[in-house]
Amino acid sequence: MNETAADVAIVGAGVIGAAIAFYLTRRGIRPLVIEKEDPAAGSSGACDGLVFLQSKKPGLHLELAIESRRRFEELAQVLGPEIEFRPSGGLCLIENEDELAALGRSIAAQRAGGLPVELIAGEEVRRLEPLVSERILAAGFSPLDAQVNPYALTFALLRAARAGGARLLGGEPVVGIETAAGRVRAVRTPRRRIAVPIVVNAAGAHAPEIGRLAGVEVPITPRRGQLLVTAARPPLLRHGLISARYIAAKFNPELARSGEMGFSLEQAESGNLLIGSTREFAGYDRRTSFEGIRAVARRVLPVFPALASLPVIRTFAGLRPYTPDGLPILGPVASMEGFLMAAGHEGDGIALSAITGEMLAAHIAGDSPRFPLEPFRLERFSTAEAA
Amino acid sequence: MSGRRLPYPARGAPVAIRLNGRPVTAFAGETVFAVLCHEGVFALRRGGPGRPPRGALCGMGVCQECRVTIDGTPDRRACMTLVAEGMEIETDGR
Amino acid sequence: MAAERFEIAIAGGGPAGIACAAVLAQAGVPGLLIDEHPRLGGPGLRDAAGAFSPFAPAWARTVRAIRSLKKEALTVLPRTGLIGIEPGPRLLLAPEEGGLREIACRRLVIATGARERFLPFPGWTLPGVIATGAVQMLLKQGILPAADFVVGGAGPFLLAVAADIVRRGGRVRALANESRLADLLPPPGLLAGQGVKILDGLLRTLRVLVSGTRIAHGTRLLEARGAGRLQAVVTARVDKSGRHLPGTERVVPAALLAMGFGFTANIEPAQLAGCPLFFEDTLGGWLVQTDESLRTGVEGIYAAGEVTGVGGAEKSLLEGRLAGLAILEEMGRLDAAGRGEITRLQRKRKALLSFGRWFNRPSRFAAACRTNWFASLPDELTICRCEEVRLRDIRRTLAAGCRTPAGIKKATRCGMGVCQGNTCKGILQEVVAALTGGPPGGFPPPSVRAPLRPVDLGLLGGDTV
Repeated sequence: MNETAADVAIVGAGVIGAAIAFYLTRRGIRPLVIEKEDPAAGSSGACDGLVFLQSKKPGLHLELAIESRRRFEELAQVLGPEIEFRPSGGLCLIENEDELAALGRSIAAQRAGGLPVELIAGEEVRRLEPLVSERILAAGFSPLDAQVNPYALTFALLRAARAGGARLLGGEPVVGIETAAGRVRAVRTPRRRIAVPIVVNAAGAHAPEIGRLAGVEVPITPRRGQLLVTAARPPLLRHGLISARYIAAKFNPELARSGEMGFSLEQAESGNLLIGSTREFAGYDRRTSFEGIRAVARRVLPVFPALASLPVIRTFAGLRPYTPDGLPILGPVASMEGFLMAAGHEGDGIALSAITGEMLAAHIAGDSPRFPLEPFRLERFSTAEAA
Repeated sequence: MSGRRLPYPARGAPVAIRLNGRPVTAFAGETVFAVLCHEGVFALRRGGPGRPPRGALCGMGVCQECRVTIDGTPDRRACMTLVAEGMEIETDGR
Repeated sequence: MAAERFEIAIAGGGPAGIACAAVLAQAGVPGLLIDEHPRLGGPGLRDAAGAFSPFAPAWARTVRAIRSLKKEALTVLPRTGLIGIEPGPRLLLAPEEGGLREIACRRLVIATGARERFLPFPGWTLPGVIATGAVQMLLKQGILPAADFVVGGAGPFLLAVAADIVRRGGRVRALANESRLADLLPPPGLLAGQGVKILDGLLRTLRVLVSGTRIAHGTRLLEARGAGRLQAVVTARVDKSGRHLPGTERVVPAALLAMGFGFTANIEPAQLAGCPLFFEDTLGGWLVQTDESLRTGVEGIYAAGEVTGVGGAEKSLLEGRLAGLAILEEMGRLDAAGRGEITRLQRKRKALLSFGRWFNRPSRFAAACRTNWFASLPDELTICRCEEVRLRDIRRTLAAGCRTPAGIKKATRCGMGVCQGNTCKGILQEVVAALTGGPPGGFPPPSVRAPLRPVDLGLLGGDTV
């Protein structure tokens, strides 16, 4: 077995692991990124590219997302046009009075939290997006909502990190984490032992497996999202689009329980439309189902009837790392020194990648992060239980 | 026209169709792909960057390279569609 | 939504599907046969009326089988795409007209055949570069698509197509077969059972030679040239390690290049259904694993024909019949004579598999040849025709730390286009194997999801009928 060493090991080369590696190298720290398959093989390669702010709960979640969004402008400069970052603005489409009421409250709170967002009338929505049907009463519009190519972002972050001295160990699963006296000593793959004082768990929906290797219980559950991809077309949609149902459900749990799902829609730079998404607890099954893909199609058609003749060429499913309170789990773990969490972003991994990378990198470098890690730590769950 | 029809026992009745607006006689039972070849139309659509011309490849429904517009519906596979009286075929490879 | 119920569904109306349907229909078992083409028979035998080989018993049998189907109470759905398969088995079907149909069946026979295998070379995306099988289908429909052809690629099928072109009055300017002549000669063991086929091959060779065609073995398709469509083909000889020999290039003017590198099985529906697969390069690559009675690893699902090993129409007819008899036996509806036939068919199947191995082997180059070949190909070569992914993109992605075809697909979009990777995913596996020194088949085939064919969003979201 090969013996090697690193200052920091990041487990998982999804967008979160890639972003942490990128921001670490900017601070002169050269991490080793360990990936059991290939970069973006998990959820970062099975999602849409919306960098959405309107969907974030006012408060901590929104503040985090705004901080992340600020960094995307710079990422686009540093990483180049290949990440296909477009500050296209986003519409949150409202179909009924309940959603209208919920979005009204959400917008007020989001504006107070510093997000430029406004409610616009149905006519204005159709002026901005001519394919939207009369079914849409109004929409929230934020110029800060944006789009990016999630795989390209992941690969570009990794490439920049490697140029800065990071190493990528692909095709090797982490099978063991050695600890002694309450702290991390090394990680093991089937082919090598890597002595390392700091291990970052950026394994997305698989973070619980990695946590267990260090004796850390991680309350993350895979939540499956099925998406459809259409054939490429010349520009049809100009904005990122989501259903206000998602926001309404956050304000009114009754709506969430009603079973009526939301939807999201974007046209990628390649011209393909990405239409999502189901939210199901189906274990680690990454297959799509007739029921799931048909439900997504059925959901979006009344809002975009003109898309009926677009061929769907692919479907895929990603496993979103769901946490009980909808916030990611970030930062040090009290019970195991040197073991850091950076997972549990559910559907926000792309949008929150930049700030997550920076926060973790700052913490590892010994700086106090620009945005506090404290509210995102794993221990919040045990505290809640104790209370 | 670059192709030609050979003696063929099972050839169907003549069928009048239009190919890029031009009247063409085909025969029942022929695929649109066969008629396009007979008419010497090999470039059927435009590819990605630079929009290079593309033509049919596999002839058996797999490669999707022979997509043409038939009676106003885009993306129909020429190799999987039989001609029919009055059919209008549009190609985008000209 | 309640699904329509059938005792048995057969996916694919080629020789295997038809033979299977014929057995079941004769026994009075209500079944469903679907095929995406308007006419049954599969690409090889669809236009059997246009068949011109005197040695085509398989074609005659297929014609008879198709005729017999018409008499029985079998539901035949032509022009119907298979969109998805779920446990049950349940099928999602997209008829060319009307809404989607959902079918539940007790048993499913996957007989989805094979497709032509392509390897890329500069100019292979030019209009006028067409699959050998496509040219043969045109000839069978009574259409000679051009006057001057080059036939090229690898494997024994090239000669058959060249002979068909010559027979129908076309000129074959050159037959460039990268396979070596020694690899194309059948071993003595095959001569016994397959004498008719081999005699047919000799007659075809003679016909092509008499027409004045230059038949060159160990000769590569170096480039297809033309402005907007094919005008000429450049060939060159290659040495035994797959390096092309400078100075041996020939420029051959032609209106059409009939090109193919053997065949590969359409395993995607079986893969989607969760059937275990195996890799055997000389049987066509990734294939569906079955037992001797053609049961796959998934309860209730059978596989017959090219999907179990590329071996031609005769093997497919046999396997279709075998699968049908095996199903009848399971249903307790087979007499002793039928059981005897199962044993005979199982024995004969082995000989046909040997034929398949001989047929496929010459188009599967040795590892060193693949490596040398791909190393020589230019960066700007298109690998994925749908998404215009170049060899350069793949080389860069490998250099950037991706190791698997699945990772490269995500990084480059290779195989993400409208053909769902069915043209380039095999190529991508070969490229990665060649560039990393791994064996072909060292990577699992990329995962498959519904829809197996593009389907309109409106249909997907509409009601089933």
